[in-house]
Amino acid sequence: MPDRREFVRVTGGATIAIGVAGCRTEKASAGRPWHDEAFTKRERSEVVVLAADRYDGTLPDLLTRGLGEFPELHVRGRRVLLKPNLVEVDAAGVINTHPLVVHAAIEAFRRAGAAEVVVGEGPGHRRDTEYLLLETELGPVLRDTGARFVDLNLDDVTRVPLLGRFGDLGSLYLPNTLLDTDLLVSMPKLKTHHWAGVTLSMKNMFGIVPGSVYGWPKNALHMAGIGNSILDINATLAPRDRFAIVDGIVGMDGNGPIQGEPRPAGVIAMGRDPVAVDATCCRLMKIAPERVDYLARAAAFLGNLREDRIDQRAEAVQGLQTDFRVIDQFASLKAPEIKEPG
Amino acid sequence: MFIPELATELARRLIARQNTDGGWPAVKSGRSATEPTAWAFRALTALAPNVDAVVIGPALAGATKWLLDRQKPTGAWPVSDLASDGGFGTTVAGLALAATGEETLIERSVTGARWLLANPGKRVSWRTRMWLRWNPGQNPLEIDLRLRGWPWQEGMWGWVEPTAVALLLFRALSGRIESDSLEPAIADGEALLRDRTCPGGGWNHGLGYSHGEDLWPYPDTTAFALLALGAGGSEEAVVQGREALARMLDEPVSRLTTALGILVAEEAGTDPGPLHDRLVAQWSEGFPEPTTRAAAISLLACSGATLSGPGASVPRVEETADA
Repeated sequence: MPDRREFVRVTGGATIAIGVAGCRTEKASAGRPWHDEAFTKRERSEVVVLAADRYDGTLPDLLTRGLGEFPELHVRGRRVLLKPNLVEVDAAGVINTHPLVVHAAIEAFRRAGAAEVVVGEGPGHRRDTEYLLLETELGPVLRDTGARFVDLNLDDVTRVPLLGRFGDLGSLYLPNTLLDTDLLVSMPKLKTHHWAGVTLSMKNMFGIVPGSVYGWPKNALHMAGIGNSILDINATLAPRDRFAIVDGIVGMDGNGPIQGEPRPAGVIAMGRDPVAVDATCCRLMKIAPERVDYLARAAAFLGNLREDRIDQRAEAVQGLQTDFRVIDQFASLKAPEIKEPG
Repeated sequence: MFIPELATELARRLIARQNTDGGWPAVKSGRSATEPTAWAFRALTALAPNVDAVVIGPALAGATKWLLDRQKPTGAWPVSDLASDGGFGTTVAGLALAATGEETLIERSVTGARWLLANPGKRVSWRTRMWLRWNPGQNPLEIDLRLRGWPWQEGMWGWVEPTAVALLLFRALSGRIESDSLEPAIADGEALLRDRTCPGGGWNHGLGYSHGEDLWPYPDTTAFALLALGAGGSEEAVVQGREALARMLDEPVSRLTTALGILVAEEAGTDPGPLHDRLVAQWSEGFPEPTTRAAAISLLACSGATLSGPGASVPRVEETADA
């Protein structure tokens, strides 16, 4: 008699789960589901990988050093919105972006001359954000730094037409704090994901979609297909100045994003191109980025996935790779030897 | 239990946060939205018998006007002036108006409830239902897919909190809506809550199990479900839910969770124990900035009120014109 997990895997019972939880199977779209004129993919992208084996007081200096690798990133005088991944009560410190990484980012952007550094998140699981802030130690970081926190689930909203047409959402309400910011910084945890394969700087953008309109969990995004929604949201954000800082000091593998296992990886990844940052993070997890469906599709118009299009700075990926386990459904993402197409 | 000092402080905070248009924002300095306005209105209405009408009357009059002006001809309320979609705002606004005891406002609540009755949660596709009919016991989520409940957003799946608040609304309007439409809806909502419990008791948002893993309960969803099912009941889901909530309340929690814990305890006829003192202590902290919902539900909890019980009389609609 198979147990429930085995049942889902063997019978494809996920089809029902998808119907109920609202996750649509992705379909290949005929034609290009994005507006060509809205995107100018750069020839090359830069990603910085920093070695960091613990959460401690050295992180502000480390992130300051990382930011220094991007002199073209104009921070001085600008409003910066840090968007960490705040998902659940996290006693082991492996679900959410670690509060000390958020603290370090606040310090680093302030040192770089930001006019204001705001922390914003719209948790998709917990509606009671105060509960999460108090239970996750992010609250004390906000109190100590004096950084303003915006619950993106409850912010004022504006309806925005999507620049991608992968799903059928057409438009989304987005928080005005995000729309008014000068620099949006996605700060995910390095994790595998039981529906999307991996959750990194692009998937982290689900947290900008307001629960006040779409509820908890944010079912409209699942209905449109998780990969489709990742692409449509990130396509819509593409004209904005963006940056990513990935907390991979301790990541999560297996049944992420909540119920997986801690996986110390000892890295921080940073960059302006979310596709390049996420592809690099995949390589750090020994996952083939071109096999992650939404990343492969994003590479067609949003950013650079191929290793030969990414200028690696600071540490080399090869020396910092950690073998992240994935659930059986995503076994194909793992390759004995990752090879780049073409 | 009425805690006058905290009630006065929370009422003062709520009134100070009220926007000039009469509504409340979800958080400080935002634009008015339906759900926070409805919760603030409900809490101040419940408090009204205990305070000077001169203080609270204008706030209630402004809120009444705001809510009535936003109701659509369909009976639904939008999320806010910025987001026109209907859904959960209708449930909370309907509940707040139903609790006033004011006939003209109850009529508006009935209109909203009728819209909800016509717009329950999304139905599972006929293909899935057929497949399950021929494959009994093959439902990997272990839920009854016939149940619909009520959604956050029009046209979506039913979830625990919106279903629970809808049940409170429907019960508040019992006798005002035809029983042949109301009773099946209440039965569906109650059945959905009983069906969606987490292993070990309590409620997550809508599933107790998903994708190979048991889900853990949340205090706020558990409290709303308990209040909807009758927190003092002896049925298994309620007893286990109370036990789960008690475990969750043993840990440090938010102001909203403490307040909901008090409401559940008082509904169940049990002693809230240290929760009143905890709520007072939590509100003496300045961090983080509270949501309007947390302030309003805390006000209900320290006013000895309930989410849906009758409240004091509020200014009539005609009297709000100059507000």
